[in-house]
Amino acid sequence: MTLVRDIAWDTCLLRPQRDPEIVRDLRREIGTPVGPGCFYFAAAPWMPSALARLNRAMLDRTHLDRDLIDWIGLVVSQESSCRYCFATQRAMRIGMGTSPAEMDRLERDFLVAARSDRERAALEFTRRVARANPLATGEDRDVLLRAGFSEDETREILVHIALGVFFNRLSTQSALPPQPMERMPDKWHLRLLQPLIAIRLRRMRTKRAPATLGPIDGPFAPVLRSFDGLHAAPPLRDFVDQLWRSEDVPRRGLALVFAVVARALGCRQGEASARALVIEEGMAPEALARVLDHLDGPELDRFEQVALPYARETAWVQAAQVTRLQRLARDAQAKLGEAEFVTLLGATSMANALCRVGATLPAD
Amino acid sequence: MALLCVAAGAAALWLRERARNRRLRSQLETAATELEHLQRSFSRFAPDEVIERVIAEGPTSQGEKREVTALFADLVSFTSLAERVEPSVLVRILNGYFERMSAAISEHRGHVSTFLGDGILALFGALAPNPWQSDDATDAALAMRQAMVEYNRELMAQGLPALAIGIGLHRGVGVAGLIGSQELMEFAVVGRTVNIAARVQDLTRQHDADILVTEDVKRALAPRFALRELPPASLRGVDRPVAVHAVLDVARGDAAS
Repeated sequence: MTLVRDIAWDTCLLRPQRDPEIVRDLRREIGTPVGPGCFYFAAAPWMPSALARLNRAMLDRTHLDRDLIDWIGLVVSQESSCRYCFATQRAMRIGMGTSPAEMDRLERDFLVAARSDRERAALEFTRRVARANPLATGEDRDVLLRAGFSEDETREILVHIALGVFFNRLSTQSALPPQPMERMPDKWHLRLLQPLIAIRLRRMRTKRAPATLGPIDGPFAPVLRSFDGLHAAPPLRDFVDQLWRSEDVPRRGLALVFAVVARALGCRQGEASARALVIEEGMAPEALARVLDHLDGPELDRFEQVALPYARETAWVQAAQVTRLQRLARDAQAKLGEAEFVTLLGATSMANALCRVGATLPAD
Repeated sequence: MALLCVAAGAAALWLRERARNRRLRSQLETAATELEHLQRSFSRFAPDEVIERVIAEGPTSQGEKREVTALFADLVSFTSLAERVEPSVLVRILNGYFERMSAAISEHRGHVSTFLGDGILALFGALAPNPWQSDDATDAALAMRQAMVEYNRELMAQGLPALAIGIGLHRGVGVAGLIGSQELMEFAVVGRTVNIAARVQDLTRQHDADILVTEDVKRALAPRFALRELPPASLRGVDRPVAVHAVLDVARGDAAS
């Protein structure tokens, strides 16, 4: 019995809007089929492409072993109780040749067994960062270095955790339908074609050359800069930049969402960085303090009044509370425009990812 | 022939070993599944870190300090009610009460730590840090008040007596950990914070108010809550008089008692 697939899950909050032209262009750009999940967020027109690039980054690697990346993804999804992402990653492993029974065994082993000391350290670190109760720190990162991972490998583990947390939050809040992916490994024709699928999947998952970001001084620069050199750094930066340039939600609202998630997680660096952005956008420090203390205040606009109390709910997602979060997301959706809503989902998801990994960085 | 016998023996041994391995593997998987089920079930009552520590090291006496808001609720005149109704009816009334109160508490991010007779001890900020715990606990208390109004309507429609509750809230540092004996252990928060919440709940009768909060809760409360200051009261086991405030009905702005 696979427990993640037993998590109660609401019906999807969004409708996919697939534009064949964008699909074709993106496929050409990223070199692989575009994940169907990206098009649920098309109400914010920049988001499907940004998500497709991030999705692609999850498949690739710069320094790490491919299998370890898969286990990291599965552990993060399990910790975040994300049925959609877990089902997708499970289906991919099965496509690559791991049997369903072995996957079920491994799902249990993530909790009770380790495959090697080095891998155990990486998976325990992954679990600690993803869980964030308490928030992981630089000391946890040092454990990984002592276990034999290089600085570059450690950064890559963190970037994959960040990507996992981001997609988990996005998929869970919007209740993307996990059932098609959960059923996929059982389809007879796919079982028959598995060796060919495995070849195709292996070709898709490439080792990328290090990618440099160049100068970066925008929002959350220290966290993004810490990923410089990794293949996933440019699409992550691109997503944050595009979010920041959103035409649907003003910057102040987005910075407040980041500040609330940071406060919920106890991430002081993240909160300080987000507070600075809010003040830059014109809110008085005393008013900001009051707003963050109570998630309410006469200074808040319509979006902020809905977004702030909602944002705190995304900090921790336990299996038993998934449908509660999805219900609250639906309530927020009813009060916001569709583009505002998907931008809010993107912001809360990215805030959760950046705060979790940012807390492990040395203080400036 | 001898070679055949050796080969047959080896094959038999191999088959037996294989069957044994399969059996062990199956037992291991069953145990792992059960363990995970337990872990998932327990995670509703204790932080994951605590559960993992218990699984790895067995029940230990480790505890840690946490800032929590304790909510203590008790039924008014429960003893006389218990004497007036049939035991089966009493249990039904109590279960309905616990169910509604627990729902109000968990909807506002609290968790019921324990039921004590007709009393409820709920904690906010015990399972995960919660910087908004005072607001959450007070919102939960107001939701409990509203749930009681609706429950009383149901009870009275069935010809049963209405219930009344007193709720006390206090915020402070408590020691969280696994408390109990080898036979019965629970994740709990102990210390003055919980004791003061219980004592403040006792004061609700004295002040004719259903929800009372201490100064430590009030200090962190949002301005949207309307409060009425009450004279400081002496509490058993507490050196100095404690300042308490009645929580008014925010929507109507009048005192509820």
